[in-house]
Amino acid sequence: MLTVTNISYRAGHRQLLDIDTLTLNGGELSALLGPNGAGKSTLLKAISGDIRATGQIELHGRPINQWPALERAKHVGVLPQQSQLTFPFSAEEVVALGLTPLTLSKQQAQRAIEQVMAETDCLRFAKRSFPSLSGGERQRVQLARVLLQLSQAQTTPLLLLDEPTSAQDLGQQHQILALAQKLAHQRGFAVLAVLHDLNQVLQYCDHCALLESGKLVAQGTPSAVLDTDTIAQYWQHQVERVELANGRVAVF
Amino acid sequence: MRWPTRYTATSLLLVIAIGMMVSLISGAMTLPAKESLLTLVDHVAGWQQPMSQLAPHEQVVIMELRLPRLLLALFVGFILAQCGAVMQGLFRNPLADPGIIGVSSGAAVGAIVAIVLFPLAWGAWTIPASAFVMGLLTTLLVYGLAQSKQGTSVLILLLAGVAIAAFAGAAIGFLSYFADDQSLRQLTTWQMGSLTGANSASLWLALATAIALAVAFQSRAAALNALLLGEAEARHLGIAVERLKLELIVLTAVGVGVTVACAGIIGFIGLVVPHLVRLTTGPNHRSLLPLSGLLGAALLMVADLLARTVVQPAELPVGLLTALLGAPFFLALLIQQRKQWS
Repeated sequence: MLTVTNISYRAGHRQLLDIDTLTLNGGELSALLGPNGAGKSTLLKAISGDIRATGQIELHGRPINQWPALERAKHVGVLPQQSQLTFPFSAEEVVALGLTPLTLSKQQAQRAIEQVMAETDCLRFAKRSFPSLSGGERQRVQLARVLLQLSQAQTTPLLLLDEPTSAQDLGQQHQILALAQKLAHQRGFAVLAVLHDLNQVLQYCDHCALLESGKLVAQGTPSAVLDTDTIAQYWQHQVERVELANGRVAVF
Repeated sequence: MRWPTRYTATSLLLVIAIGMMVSLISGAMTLPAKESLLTLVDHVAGWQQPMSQLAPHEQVVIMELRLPRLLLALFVGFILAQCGAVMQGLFRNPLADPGIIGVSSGAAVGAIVAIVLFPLAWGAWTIPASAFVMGLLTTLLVYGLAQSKQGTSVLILLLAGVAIAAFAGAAIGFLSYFADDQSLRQLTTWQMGSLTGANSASLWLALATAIALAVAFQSRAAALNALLLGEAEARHLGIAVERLKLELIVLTAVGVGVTVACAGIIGFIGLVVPHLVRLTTGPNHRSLLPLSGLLGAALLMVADLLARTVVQPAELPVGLLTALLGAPFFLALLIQQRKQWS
């Protein structure tokens, strides 16, 4: 449903992005991997339209920059890494900002807000001031807002997650990844997440794409892509790879 | 704990109504309170048998001096506070002020050029027109400076505004050096703000601007809320961010330009009022904008009442009073919230 063809982006003389083809499918949770500075955030920005890369990015067969702004907002959600919000909105009010492109009645809106806040485990601090929340709580509130924004999508929506686990504790990391997996498998979302923990990628993701210096160097199922040689080559770290009893693969 | 929006709005309307009555019956000329209010009723109702016992020249004081002035205070205060709320939202900074985009500095330069260089060129409208045009041009210059390939940089907008304000300060100093005594006096009133010039033309202009801005801003309240998340986030929510920024800046420049043309430069209303409303009823622009307008109107009316009664029969420039009351108040707020900012 999302196809990226021959995109390239330069800042000055530096080639930040140079990708031949990349395809994301509905119903799949995909990981975007790569060492720091590989171009992961740049690729997310190119897909979400924050930067204008040359080349073609099509969502459901239509160039993404030709989607009307509101339609696009209903079908492409972006979870930012950090939040700039310093004004004292409550967590619930921040989630409600996800209603911006939607047309819902007051009751429908209230129900939708409660539903996404329950899914992201935010109801406990719904009334608290957003700037006073911890980094992880703020990230989950933002995720709830993005899910609300996508709640009226007419076709498969695309969800871009920029390091969704970075501020979470261990339990919350797994909770968020399980939610991302559920959105993909049960609701058919195409989810692309920038992740760093390879074991989490091996555990949750259906697909992964490995970037280096702006180029796509490998893609496929995580267990196929993440062999010991590849990890050593791109992360300069020697790992041991073991097959667990349940058939899953882990690296140490 | 937040105050409920509806009660806050009702209380503010009540305060404005009481403030209007007090303003009508106070002033350098002592007039009986009941008769003064009846004069207004007579004029509004327009009946054959007036109920007020005031002499015609006393009725003129009420209807042609105090009433226009009080209405101008309401309209100007309303516009300034709403423009302040919008600028703070656009810059995502509660310390932004409507003058931040250079409109006040530009308008001041326009005014002093008119006062010093061609005082009589186009009659009574020379100074306000020159102030308005220069304010708008300065804003467009600041906005133009902030353009880059990535769009409008809010940081450069802010810094360019500061630089232009410094330059305008120098230009004003330079021109006042060559001004004669009468020009200087006129200039001072202009720079510190005064509502003495209220007449039917300025009243209609300010009223029309206040209504137009209130409607235009309110229809952008949801977009302003989304903008508080950050520009990229607002764009992802389907908002045309670049167009929104340009619209808000032009609307603010026109609003502040009109207030400067009608009443000179009046500080602190645009800075303090939205801040205060945010503290009591929260940052949602749907309620912040109308409540800021009402509180701004109430505060400027009270400030002008004090300006013309504290040292009567003389009077103080109203901008002096808003700064005198606003600055310590603002500092008190900052000290109270120091924890939140560090």
